[in-house]
Amino acid sequence: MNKKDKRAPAPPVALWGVGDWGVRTLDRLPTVFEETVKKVALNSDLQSLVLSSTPVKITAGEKSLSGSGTGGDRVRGEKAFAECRAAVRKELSGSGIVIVAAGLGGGIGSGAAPPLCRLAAELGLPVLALLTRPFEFEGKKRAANSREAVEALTAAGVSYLSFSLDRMLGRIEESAPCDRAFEYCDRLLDASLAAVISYLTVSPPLGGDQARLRNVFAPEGESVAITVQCDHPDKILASVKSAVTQLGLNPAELKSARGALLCVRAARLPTIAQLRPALDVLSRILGEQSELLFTVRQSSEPEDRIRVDLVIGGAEARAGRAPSVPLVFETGSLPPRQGKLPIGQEYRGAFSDTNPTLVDGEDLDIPTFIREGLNTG
Amino acid sequence: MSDESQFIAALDVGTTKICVLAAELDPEGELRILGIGNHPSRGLKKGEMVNLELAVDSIRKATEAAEKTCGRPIDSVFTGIAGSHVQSYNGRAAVPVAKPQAGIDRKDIVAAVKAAQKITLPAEARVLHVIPQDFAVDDRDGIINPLGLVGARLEARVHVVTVRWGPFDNILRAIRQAGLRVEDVSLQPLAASQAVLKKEEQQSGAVVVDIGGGTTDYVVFHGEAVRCTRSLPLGGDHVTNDVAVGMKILLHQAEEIKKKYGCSISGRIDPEDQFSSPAFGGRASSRLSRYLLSQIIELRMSEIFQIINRELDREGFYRHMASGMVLTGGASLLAGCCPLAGEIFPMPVRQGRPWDVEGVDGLDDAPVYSTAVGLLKMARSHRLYSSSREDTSGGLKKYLRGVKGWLNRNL
Repeated sequence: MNKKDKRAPAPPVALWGVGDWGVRTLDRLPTVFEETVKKVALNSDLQSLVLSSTPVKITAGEKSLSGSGTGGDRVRGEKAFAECRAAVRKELSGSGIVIVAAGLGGGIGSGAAPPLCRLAAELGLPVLALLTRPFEFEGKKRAANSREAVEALTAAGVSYLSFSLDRMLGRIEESAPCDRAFEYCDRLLDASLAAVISYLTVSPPLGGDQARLRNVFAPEGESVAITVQCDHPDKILASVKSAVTQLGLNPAELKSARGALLCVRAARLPTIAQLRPALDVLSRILGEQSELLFTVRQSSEPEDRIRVDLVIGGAEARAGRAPSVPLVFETGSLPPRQGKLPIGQEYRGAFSDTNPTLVDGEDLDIPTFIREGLNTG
Repeated sequence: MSDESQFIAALDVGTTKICVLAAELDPEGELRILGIGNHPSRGLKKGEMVNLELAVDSIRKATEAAEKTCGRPIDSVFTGIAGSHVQSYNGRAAVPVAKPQAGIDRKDIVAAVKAAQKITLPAEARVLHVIPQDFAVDDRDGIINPLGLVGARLEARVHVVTVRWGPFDNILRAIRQAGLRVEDVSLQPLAASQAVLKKEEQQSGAVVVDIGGGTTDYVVFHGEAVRCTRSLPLGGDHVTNDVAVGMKILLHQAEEIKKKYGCSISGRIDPEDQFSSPAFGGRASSRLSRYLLSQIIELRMSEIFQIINRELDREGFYRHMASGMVLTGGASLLAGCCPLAGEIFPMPVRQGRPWDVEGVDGLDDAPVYSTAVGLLKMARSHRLYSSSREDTSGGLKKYLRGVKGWLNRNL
């Protein structure tokens, strides 16, 4: 056995957080992934790195910027990355698949993410990028930065998921407090990341196929993500229907998507019978060329909290533009939307001592008027 | 067939009520109902046993009531079963005709039907009914009676109904513990269909929806054959529970106001219309909205109908439903039930009541007795077949009894 063999094997996934948003994303990553993910933070803002709990941190532009930010300048971000290129190369060597999480619009996110992806590709590493595009209200400069970064990534042939923050925000009621609205966007992106990492770190056939995952990551088009919860694995189907409805994509957009990744995280893994109807629904709404991936992952959450994450890559929708006729599943078979109180078992009344009457994952023993939202005073 | 009249009894074990009908079967095969016994059902939910002791007691009391009205002891019954554990499928298989030149005989038909029902069943399932649909002789399709036809190949299409051992045995056990012998068991919605559907309707295509307290069952007929049987564990009890939760009243009060003031189409109710809730215990009577009550009922009934509608549409049955839908069962008596179904299903809907019933006034006008009357009619076929049994070839296995009965009735 040579020396190389004695080293501990590298985690299968190297997750790079680039820029402020990217670094914060690393810190929010669930601890369940710690053993399978090597986290690296890359930013020019020293304060952001100091506050981060990520073990490996690289300061971009240490000489030219002296630990301060780029001021939203994409070119300065690119130069800052060039200064730390050697350190980045060192951290990349020996990695498994590289995932780059970056918020586009700022200097480092837009300036450093494309060369980082290119460098990883040059080293022969598979690369996937998970990107956010800035809100329209953040101004034209950030929009231009974002656009140029996307063009650079596309030119480099990097597979990426690009999420429009405007579109995410569009799903939240306008009356919601600002901090909760932004938290919601972060939660969706975290869910997407968790779904991707889950898929990559689970053995086949429940995951692990990088080539198929790259099919979901599109070199163009917009990606959307949603995360919903249910309290019983029999409700996974209803949750997926609800998720698709909340995404607000119309049937044509769904048909044109590159693919979908469904990730179910639960304390107890669902059965095939509980999962298959949900996959059947996705299979029906996606196009013939769309990739459909799914994975399940055991989580440490309570048994009655099942997370269903759905990522759709490369749909044709434009950021911020509401689709004309979104695909809506019948509301009668949907779990409550976010913001409404979940339906409790106390409403089963006379049927509280019987097995639930489940149709499409929904307990029909619960009064219809409650599930339909009729206010009885 | 015996020259003397026979005494038969049917026991309908429902989720909300137990009904026993006692009848006389005269030598001409005519039924005349002699007695009727009802008792609220206890110990069942959604068509399945949850408390054996209570169920036995309910069966015993209903039987005693029937014995009192007919003046004769009842020691054996024909009964029915329903519930979500009931499954059904269509099977088909072909067999070579034993003597092609001599024509198809009964043994060929039995062999084809037997082959068509073959499927690997789950360990806990047992076959309740095997109902032939139609036959094909060589390349001739859609033959109802192939007896005597010349051909080399006989194909049978059958509808097979299976039940789960557990719920099935629980019903039988309760009946036996109530001191009764079980002569035969039939699928309840099939029995209800016998009571409310005419042969012409079966021929041209119809669906019978039996809305009971614990289950809603439906049977699709076309070409005089059963094409589909389904059972949903949803029924009138769900409506009652919805009303109780929505109006914040007790279950028995909900049942009472549902029947008295409820309507399945809220649009027919004046939004200002109110009624007084029944007082109970220390609770004073209060004014409740009839419009809200009807909204709650309409949502539940629509949901049940929509589930059935989706199934019928998916299976492509609407092309064969010239006679439309027949609603029966206690919950179908809810005001506005038929018009609501008429809005949801793309076919005519009518209320189904037992027909061809003699002996007890009012029975032919009560959908709640459809299943019990249908069980009596199936019992009649069973008795008629049994009495002519010596005419058939021997050695038939018990599980083919249903097939034989069908052959006897139809060929």
